[in-house]
Amino acid sequence: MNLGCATGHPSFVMSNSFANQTLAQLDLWKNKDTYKVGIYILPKKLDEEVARLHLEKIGVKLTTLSKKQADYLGVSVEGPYKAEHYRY
Amino acid sequence: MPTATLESSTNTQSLDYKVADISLADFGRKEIDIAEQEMPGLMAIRNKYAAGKPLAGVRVTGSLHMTIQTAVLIETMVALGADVRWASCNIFSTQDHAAAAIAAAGVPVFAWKGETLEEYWWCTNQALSFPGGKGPQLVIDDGGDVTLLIHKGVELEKGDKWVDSPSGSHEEEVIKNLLKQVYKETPTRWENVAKEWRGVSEETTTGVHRLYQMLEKGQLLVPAINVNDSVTKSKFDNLYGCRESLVDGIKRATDVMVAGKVAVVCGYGDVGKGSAASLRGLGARVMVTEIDPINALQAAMEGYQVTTLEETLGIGDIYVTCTGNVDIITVEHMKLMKDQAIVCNIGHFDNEIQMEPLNALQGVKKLNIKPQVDKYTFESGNSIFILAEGRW
Repeated sequence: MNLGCATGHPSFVMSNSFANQTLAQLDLWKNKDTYKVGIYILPKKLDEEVARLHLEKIGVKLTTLSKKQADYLGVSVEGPYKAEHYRY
Repeated sequence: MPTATLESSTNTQSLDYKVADISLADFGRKEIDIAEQEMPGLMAIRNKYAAGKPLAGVRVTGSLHMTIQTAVLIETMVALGADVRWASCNIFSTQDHAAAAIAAAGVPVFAWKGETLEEYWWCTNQALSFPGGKGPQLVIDDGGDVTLLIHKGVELEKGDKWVDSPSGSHEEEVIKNLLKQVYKETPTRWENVAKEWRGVSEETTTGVHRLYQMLEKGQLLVPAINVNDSVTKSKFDNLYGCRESLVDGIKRATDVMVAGKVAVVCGYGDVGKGSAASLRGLGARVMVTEIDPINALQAAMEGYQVTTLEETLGIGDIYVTCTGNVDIITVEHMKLMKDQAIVCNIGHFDNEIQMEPLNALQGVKKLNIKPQVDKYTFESGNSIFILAEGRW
């Protein structure tokens, strides 16, 4: 009914969804010869990249890990930052 | 408005486009320009990849709400080189000025607000019909209708008798009729489509659920990317999208004062969380129904009363379904609701609310107020309002 009675979700949030759609399409085509039938999720690195691309627009200043902090967590300074089982 | 003449429903000689009113293209373009400014992620990807045209000549069928935002997605795919055909994935969700702008830009689009189910599936088939009898190499799906149609078509050509089985709904009958007609005209249509189909990306909880069911049964034909479960999809679109668009829809449909009302949200997944927050934000007292103890505990600890639907009857003023399941609000429930209750669905399919049985109910009077708003009056004298015929 949000689409039937109004105009659906606002652009900014749909930019996240459609960025994922576009990256998925690029990936499916680029790796079409190696993909097997199955269901896949985009790598966390790309998920983080989608989020990153939306930060500047709404004035987010992101903190960068120091090398010591990254080592302490056992992640790379550039990410991905969370384990696969992390639920956000 | 387009008429319902569907003789060419299985014509693989593709039409260029079918929209409500091509003269709306200029208005659509102005709103697309604004949306581009609000879609930094999508535009960044467009700018990064456009020069290399990584999808040059790739045939892509999209089945996704033909809105202004989707227009920006379509034009991104075109900028990456894709040969795109598009239909909406809901009979009411098209924004006609968006569809007109896309058609005017030369992309074959088949979508208008207020399609019949016959027209809807005709549009889907047109979006799948590339010149020369070709089908898509990639599919962008929302709810899984294109994926369903191709799979059911292939199964039919392999001798499956699903199309001759009794239908559980009018829509199922429409799909079966379309498949039978296609089969009569081109008995190898879907096999040919499947041969060159390389993958699908699906962006809804419902569509992904369908994909996993197909995979488990060994029926899935292509690799699929579950876009829904990207964190930046389900934890944003489903949650923050609904938090803004749910009350927007209720307000535009009814102008009802939300503050002080009792709202009942059925299902507390990401969409339910956004919907409950949306209603609470305007001052409604929100109740939640859940079958999953984890989600129920989440809702309760967020401060919502969690109870059964039966307990809310006579109390609830606004009902919202978002469970992904069927028969959540039954005809018996609706008969017992408070007079003037508003009932709507923000889950993907229209079977969360028992619409077909409601329409078939003896003694109920249906009064159309305006497009997508209907008042049903029961023999008791109580009335309820149904938004968008129970559709998303």
